[in-house]
Amino acid sequence: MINLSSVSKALLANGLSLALAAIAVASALSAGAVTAAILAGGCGLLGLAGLMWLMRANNSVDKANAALRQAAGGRLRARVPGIRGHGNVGELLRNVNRLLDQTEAFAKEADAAMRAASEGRFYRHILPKGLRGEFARYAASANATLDVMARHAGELGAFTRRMLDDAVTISMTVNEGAIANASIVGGIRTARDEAAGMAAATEQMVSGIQEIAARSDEAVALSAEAQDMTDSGSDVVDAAMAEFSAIEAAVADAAARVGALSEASEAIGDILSSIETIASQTNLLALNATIEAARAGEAGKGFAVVANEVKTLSNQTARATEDIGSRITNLRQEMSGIVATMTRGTQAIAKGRQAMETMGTRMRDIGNRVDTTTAKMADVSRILTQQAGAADQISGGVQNVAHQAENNAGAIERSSAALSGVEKQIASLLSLLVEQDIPNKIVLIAKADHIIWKKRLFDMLVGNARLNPDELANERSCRLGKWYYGPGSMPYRNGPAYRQLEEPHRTVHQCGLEAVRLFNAGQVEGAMRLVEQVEEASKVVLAALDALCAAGDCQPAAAAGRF
Amino acid sequence: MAAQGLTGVERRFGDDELIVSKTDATGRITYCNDVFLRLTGYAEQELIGKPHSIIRHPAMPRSVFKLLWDTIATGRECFAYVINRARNGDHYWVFAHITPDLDESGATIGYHSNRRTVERSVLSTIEPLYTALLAEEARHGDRKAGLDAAFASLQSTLAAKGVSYDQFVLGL
Repeated sequence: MINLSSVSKALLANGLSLALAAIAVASALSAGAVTAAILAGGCGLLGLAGLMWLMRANNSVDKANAALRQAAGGRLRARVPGIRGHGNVGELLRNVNRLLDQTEAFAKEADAAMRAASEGRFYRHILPKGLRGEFARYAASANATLDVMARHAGELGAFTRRMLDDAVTISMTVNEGAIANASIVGGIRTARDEAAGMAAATEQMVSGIQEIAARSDEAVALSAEAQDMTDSGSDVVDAAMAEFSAIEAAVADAAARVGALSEASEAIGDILSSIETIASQTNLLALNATIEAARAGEAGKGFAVVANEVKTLSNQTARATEDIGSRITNLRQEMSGIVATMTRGTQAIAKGRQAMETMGTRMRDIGNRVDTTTAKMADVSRILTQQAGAADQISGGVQNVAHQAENNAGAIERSSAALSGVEKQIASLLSLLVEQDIPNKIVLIAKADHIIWKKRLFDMLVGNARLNPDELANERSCRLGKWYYGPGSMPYRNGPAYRQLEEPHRTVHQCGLEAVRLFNAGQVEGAMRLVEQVEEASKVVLAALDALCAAGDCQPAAAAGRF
Repeated sequence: MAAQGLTGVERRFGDDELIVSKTDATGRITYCNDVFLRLTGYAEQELIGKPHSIIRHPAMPRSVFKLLWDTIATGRECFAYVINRARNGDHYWVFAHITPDLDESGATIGYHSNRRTVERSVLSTIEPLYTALLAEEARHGDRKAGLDAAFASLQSTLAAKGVSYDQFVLGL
């Protein structure tokens, strides 16, 4: 009761005055003082109205009080509802609301601007419009602070971005250097192996050459023998030719003799004709003698016998002549057969001689060629011997090269070891930077990641590392893949660079994995071809990443997708 | 709610004034300040409990409201240039900032909107944009399809400018 407010006290006083008025009305009425009762009643009614207004005012004070209590507790959303009237109490309530409107607006604005600043959106200022007086001034100074923070963040961002850029460039350079080293070491190792192989091959070549030279000498000897044989062949042909000429002459002579014989036979024929005539005349003479003998009777008997004998002889002569004639005819037929045969023989011999002549020419020709061949074989043999000497020198040189290569490989391996120390430091710097809020950081770091991935493949190829295909990232699980297929890449998805990236990036991973599988299965050639494909695809990936960076540079990383 | 047609008359308020209103979680008005009452011409008791769309103007694209509510539903603040309709058909432009009102546990129990005056220069960008969005919404027979198409068109307009929505509105 002691802590009553003045309104409460007024209410109490008003209630008491109402009670007093009621008592006054009652006592005035009992005293019959009507006028006094009316006046007291009027007082009482006025007091009642006053009590109602006071209660209303008290109610308003309670509402204001409730709202302000909430606000004092930090619940700025509280307001006074249902304000009626435009007197000072109404205005009081409106001013409570106006104060809360200002306070809440400032608080919400400050909250939003600070929250945005914490996300790097420094452009979200406290909106100064509608804020009044000190609220407006505080807003202005907070906004000035935000501008300073934005500038610092920008500088820090630029610095971090620059650092990331540099770290990525250094990482790429170091890893490219390491790749170059690895491939040089690989090259040197290959060269060394090849040199060893070449030395062996050269030695084999030398012995091969020597063998050939020996064979060439043999060939020269054989050629000389062939030459001799050809020469003697020629001599034989010449002798045969002479023989042929002799035969030809003999045959011609024989032919001539047969001709003469034939003529002689013809002469015999003539003689036979005359013999035939003589025989016929003798026969006729014998016939006449017989007749004369018969006439002579007995005296002629002896003569008749002789005549008969003559007749018989002439008949025998005629038969013998006929026989000889037919024999001579046969003989002449035989002789003309012999002449024909001889003529053919002569022709055959002539042809044979021609053939012999041709053969002789050819034999001489062969002889000349064998001669030339022999000379050339001798040349070849001499040159081969010289070459064998040269090949010997080459073999020595190659071994020397292999030795030098081994020395170089050692030097490069030491440089690789130094580089890998740098690599580790750069990698830890990159992992620090990747924690920072840098626009395009994934795209930038992906460039370094892909060079590192390539380097691991090269390390594998030259035998510096052994890779397990199951532990290697694929195109979706690598850092770039997670970004590419995740929400982070949303702002880039409409650009051409984003689409151009997918195919080569997949190739880089798939060929890389396949290369590891092949290499582990011992198929080094196949693995090398695949790593070449990785290298080609990797160039396209890097170009696409550069294009993405160029396209996305204007966008702060945090703004994407937010309103 | 008010049946009167549009008058084409624009109402203005002071740069140092805030139009403030609050709604419950379903969008029904729980509080509006004296500037709100003065601008709309309503009495407080006519507004309390009514949906906030009571002051909606037909020149306002629904796709912009969709953007607003999509954003606010995720608990984030959002901004929009809005044309509102007074009780008698007059209109007034505001730059609205809407935030969720949270209880002590952080749950959304309603929404709070502060509205500020609009620079005339901004309207030369906003009015043609809203006209285009309205046309896109009207071009489709289906209300939903129209809304989606206009929403997509708004998103692609922003994508073409390379800015987010709040960068866009705050940058005007």
